[in-house]
Amino acid sequence: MRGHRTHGALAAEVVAALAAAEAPLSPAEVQAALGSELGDEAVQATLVRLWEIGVVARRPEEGRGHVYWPMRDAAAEAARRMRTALAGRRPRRAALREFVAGLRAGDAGPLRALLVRAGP
Amino acid sequence: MSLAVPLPVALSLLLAILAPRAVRRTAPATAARGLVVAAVVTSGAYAACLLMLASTLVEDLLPLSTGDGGAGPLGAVAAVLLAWGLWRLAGDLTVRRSMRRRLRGVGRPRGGGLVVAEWDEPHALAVPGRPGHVLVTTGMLRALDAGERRAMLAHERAHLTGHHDRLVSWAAAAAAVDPFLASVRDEVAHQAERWADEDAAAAVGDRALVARAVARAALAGGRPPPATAGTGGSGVVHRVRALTHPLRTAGGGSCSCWRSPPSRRPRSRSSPPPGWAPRRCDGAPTTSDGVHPHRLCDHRGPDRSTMDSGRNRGERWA
Repeated sequence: MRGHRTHGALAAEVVAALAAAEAPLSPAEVQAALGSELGDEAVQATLVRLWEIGVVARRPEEGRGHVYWPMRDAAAEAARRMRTALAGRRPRRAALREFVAGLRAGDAGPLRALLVRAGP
Repeated sequence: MSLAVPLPVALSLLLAILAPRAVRRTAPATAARGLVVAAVVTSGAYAACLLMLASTLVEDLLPLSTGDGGAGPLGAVAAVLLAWGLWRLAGDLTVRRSMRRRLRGVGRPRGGGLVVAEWDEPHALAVPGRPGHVLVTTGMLRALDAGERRAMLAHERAHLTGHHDRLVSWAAAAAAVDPFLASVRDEVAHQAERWADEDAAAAVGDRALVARAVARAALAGGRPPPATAGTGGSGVVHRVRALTHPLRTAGGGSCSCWRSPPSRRPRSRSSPPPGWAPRRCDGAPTTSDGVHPHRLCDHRGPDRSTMDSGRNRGERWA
């Protein structure tokens, strides 16, 4: 992977990786998920900074140093508010700019074909 | 005065019809900006003409009116249309403002400008503001792998840094005043997505990765298409195709070359740099070395090489 990450971009990716994981992750596991060109120190420093400002929690674990996971309370509260914000009439949905805005009939086929071609 | 009736409508319809064709070969950033300017100017002209017609109604009602025929029912229709447009504009502005306030209220970003919501339904959106942040659900994060997550985050950040919400809002406002511009508004929204896709591809250095992220996220949604999709639905397939076939527009047989960035555009036809795959405009296979003698998709209009040839010129001027 090419492309240079900014500081904030790395922090966002770390938070995203932890939020996507089913179980707490060690710094090495986070680093493995994000790509090999990243240094140990960069990921470690980002995790510690996120822990200091209370975005993620951590606990020591034998043989792995600390393991990290995202603060679930804030995420659950965010979900509750987001549901309320998105539940609404048609015009309100139209005001959204979403990453993807749903599929039309016949869209799924070409998209699946692309993913099959691209591999898992 | 009689021209004031069909002119704004004709202008709007012309723009609505031409817009998708005009931007087919244009870079999305240019396309989005150009369409917004055109839409705002057109809706302004539309509103001004309606106002002119409506004002004749007022003149008719005045006792001092010279009574030069007047617009009568036409003036009344114009007044109603104008009032309807302004009502729609007010509604659009209100809905957008309230949506932005609600989305900002979902959570304060602390880790890298990202707010995560613990929700299985896949959503990812850019919440504009100063500085603005990305709002994403765990459902979306879990649908994507690490590389795709990076592409998705880069896409949303591109919306924020490019202030795409402003363009989309202007287009929506123009379409609210002038309903004939609804398709232009949708086209602007689609071009904003394409723009963010291209920026994301540049940020992660991998077009295919962005294409995969878009496809995966769309399939993860899997819900019935919302009625508001606009260009959304098939727009997704367009976006994926544009990312995976950079030299051809999705759908049409025509071609576009802006998508290979200037630095990667071949200086000489004999040695295209890696990553640049030339194709013929009509989609026919290229020659074995990948370069067709002429009619490469480089948008110089109708085959300049033959037009410039002496034989051709001779025939033409004979």
